[in-house]
Amino acid sequence: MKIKSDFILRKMDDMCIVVAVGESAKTFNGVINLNSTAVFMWEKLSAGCTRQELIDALTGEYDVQEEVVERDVDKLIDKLRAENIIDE
Amino acid sequence: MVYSFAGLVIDIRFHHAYGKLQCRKYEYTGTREPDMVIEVDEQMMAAERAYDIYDSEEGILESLAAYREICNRAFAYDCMFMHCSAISYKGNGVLFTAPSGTGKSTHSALWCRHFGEAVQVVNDDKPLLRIMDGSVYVCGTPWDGKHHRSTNIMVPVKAIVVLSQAPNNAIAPATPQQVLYHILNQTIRPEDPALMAKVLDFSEKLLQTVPVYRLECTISDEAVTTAFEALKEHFDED
Repeated sequence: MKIKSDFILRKMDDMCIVVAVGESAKTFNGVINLNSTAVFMWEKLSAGCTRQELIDALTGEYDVQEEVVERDVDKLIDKLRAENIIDE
Repeated sequence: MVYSFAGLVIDIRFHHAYGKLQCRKYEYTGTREPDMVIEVDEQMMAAERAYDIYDSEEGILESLAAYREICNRAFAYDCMFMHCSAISYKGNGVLFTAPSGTGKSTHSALWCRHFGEAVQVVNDDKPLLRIMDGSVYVCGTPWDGKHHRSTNIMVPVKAIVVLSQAPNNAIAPATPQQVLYHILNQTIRPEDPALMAKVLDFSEKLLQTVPVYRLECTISDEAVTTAFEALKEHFDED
């Protein structure tokens, strides 16, 4: 899975947001606010990774149970799919 | 015809009478060379027609296309347009922002009624904001809404207020996170990544330098006094 290249991440002071440009801008006009964990996941997905790779990266980075990570990763992926943000 | 606003001198070559009439108050008679020359061609008209939902006549489309082009080029002069109602209270700029129909113009009109000559409408619809010497200024332009309320001045912006309708009047400081979405929704949302980066640069600067508030309000004099009590600490009284 990989985040489409026409979504851009921007760090602004203590915020991190994502907006769409290019083709995706025609249909996506929201602004996504990312907290630090979400930024971590977003950056992995921007480079391209599988669901398992993302889970492994998070359990490696954060001291948290795998089931919690799996649940949060699936929640994020569902949202991204629903908004047409990732290429499978 | 050459016009001046937002500290810029702009030669706009209108073909239709609509634009010439609309910009008449902003005609320039000085000696500066124009910063830009705008002429709307068929490609720009076609693009404007694609955006248009009102089946507008050619003169109106030409005017909108001209402003769209001005707003795109104005980034080179640290300018960004924003859909809001901007007033000046004794030289202190306040931007009222909200989706269309919320009541920005109504609220501005209430400030005029309450404060009389101390308040001027800088631009009731689509002012240009300009960053100069580290401060953000709001500028009157000819694209000033259906009632043509604007003044050809530039004043520093002292506060941004996000409006919403409510049964009671209440104002509270807002965080940049809460307001960024509103700002991005009230300016151009370009598809071009380089232009989008400029919009984000400008928005970031705006949020770093100008305090932001959320105002829930009714249509009343109390809405004005409620807002004023919170905002006045940011004003310079002359």
